Amino acid sequence: MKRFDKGYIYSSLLSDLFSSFVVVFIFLKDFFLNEEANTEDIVTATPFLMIAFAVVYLCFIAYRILYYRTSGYELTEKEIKCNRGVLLRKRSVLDYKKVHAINKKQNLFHRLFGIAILTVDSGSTNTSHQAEITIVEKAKTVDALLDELNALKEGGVRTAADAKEEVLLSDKDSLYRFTSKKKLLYTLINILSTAFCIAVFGVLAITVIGICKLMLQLDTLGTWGEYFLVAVLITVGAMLLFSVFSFVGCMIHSFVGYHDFNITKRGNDIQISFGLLERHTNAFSYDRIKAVKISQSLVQRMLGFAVIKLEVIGYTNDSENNNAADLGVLVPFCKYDEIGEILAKVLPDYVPDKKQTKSVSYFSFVSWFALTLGIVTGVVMLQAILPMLLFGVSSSVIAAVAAAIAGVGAIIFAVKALSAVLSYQNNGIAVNNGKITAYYGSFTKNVTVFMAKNLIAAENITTPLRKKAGITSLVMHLKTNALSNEVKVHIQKDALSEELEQLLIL
Amino acid sequence: MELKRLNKNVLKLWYIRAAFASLALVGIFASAAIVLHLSGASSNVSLAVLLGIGIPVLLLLGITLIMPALRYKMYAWGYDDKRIIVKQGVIFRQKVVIPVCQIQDLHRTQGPLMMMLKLGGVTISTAGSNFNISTLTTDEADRMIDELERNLETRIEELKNEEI
Repeated sequence: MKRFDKGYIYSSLLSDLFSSFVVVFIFLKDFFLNEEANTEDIVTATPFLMIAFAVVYLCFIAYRILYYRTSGYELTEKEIKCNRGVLLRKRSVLDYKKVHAINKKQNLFHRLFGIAILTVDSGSTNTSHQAEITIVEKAKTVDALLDELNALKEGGVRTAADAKEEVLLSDKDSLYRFTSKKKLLYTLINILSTAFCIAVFGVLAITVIGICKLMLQLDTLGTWGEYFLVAVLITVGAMLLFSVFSFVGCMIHSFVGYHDFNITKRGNDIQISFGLLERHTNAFSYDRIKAVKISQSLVQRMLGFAVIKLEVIGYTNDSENNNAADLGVLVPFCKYDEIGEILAKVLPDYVPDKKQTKSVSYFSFVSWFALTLGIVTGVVMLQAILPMLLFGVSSSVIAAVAAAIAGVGAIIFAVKALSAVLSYQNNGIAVNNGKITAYYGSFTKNVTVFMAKNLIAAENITTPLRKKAGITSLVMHLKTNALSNEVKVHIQKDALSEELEQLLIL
Repeated sequence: MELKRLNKNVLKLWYIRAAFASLALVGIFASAAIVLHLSGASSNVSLAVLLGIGIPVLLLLGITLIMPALRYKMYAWGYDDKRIIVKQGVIFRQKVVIPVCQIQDLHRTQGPLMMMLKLGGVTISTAGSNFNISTLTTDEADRMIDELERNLETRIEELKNEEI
């Protein structure tokens, strides 16, 4: 079994050292940098702290060396084997034919020592949060391995000639480019989204506090003019502050996280690469794609932009981050009108079809919510008012509290009613030649395209009244291991559920 | 396909569970009353706090005690050589159709109460979601797992032949 490259030890130790310094700085900055700090205390404590730091760091060194000595990989004729772990040792064997996705990752520390991490995933449910095979090797070897594994997973058996052939993937024929212009537009739209959310929140807060001021005659809030001036200034200030955060975050995300974003397609293989500080290269076969999801936030929808994501088991699974099991990005940002063109080039089978059905009733989107909200608001009001009556609180205060509770209930209902309007417009389905296009969502509009062969169960949900009216909601369970394995299309005609059941491969 | 109803013991199990939940709810109310009594709170404060806790507790208690009978009435399940169907839900009625050929694993689960009443749950794992047939008798659960296993093998062979 071949050991990982020694660069693993050095890069990990350098990364550990960096993280340790950051942790030490955060916890001890007050002790050393405080103006009131006693110099004698610092002098006495420093050797002990250094010894403690050295002991902890020695543990890291021991762990990294042990990990290096106990880990390794081997490519046999039909499968890839990998050993790793110190206390909990793991041995994984993966048949080449069962490889779902191959991901290459290279962060700054890896680059310093010329290494990269290759993860190979079979898409098994049991390992949905963790890749089965992890290999740490020289970057060039990883590129060659990535290429070799791509060939082997297509059913080829490894031969000596194959092993020698080292074809490095080229980015020249990229099918989509995330240009600086698009990145700036992406940042601008995110800033607009943030400002819009803050503005909506601000208007709601000003209204609720205004009602309280009116009912309780709160003089502490000044005259109406002063109140509105201060409230608007605070809202605008918050909008500016959060917009700056959003700007910085989006610039880093788009210019650093998605640096040099490329999609390349070679035969049946698709490769997506991006990242400046941490470079990701993810490769998977076209036939491993389970679904394509197009999302549009409210602001993106108003301005006509969208994000395209991919459901490929193992594509985004990060061995070190369990929370990363999410949909992989195919196109981080594009015009909604361009989606057909982009998908026709990259994934021709997944171009979304136009909606063939639409929601059959608006009332069904709000009815149960209104009933539940009414009961909850009633109980809360009862609980708030009864004690006040017991304590003989003045009627104006009781009226103000009742109005505030009713106001909050009304605002929540208004938001739901708006969301229901959008849901009513969005929900629908299209079935065409074994391809299902599901339209759903409210404030965020989603379109998921998948093949009927990947539909593993069909579910319909209705109530007695809806059944009489021939209305049902459809839940389609897809063949994936991610959290996104359900697609729900609401308030459709009853007959659709039977059509969907017929699409199941029984 | 004719769907089956659940065994009467399942209703007993759900009522035992509901009784435990009700005890917990009554316990919350009783604890509040004891704390108020020991702290010597005035009658108005006590009444206000007890109303505050009592109204939601009473609502939850009602729901907890009614639900088992309604759930039992609405639950139906069945399978043949090609599909499994489960119908459930009191207000929102759900019907799930799972093709037998999509089954990956079958699990039988049993807790102490279920063991006492000779009941067992079946979990059907597919390549995407897990589906539970909440409670069956142990005989029904075992028979279901055996038959589904056989049906699965036969169906996979049939599908392979169809492809050829």
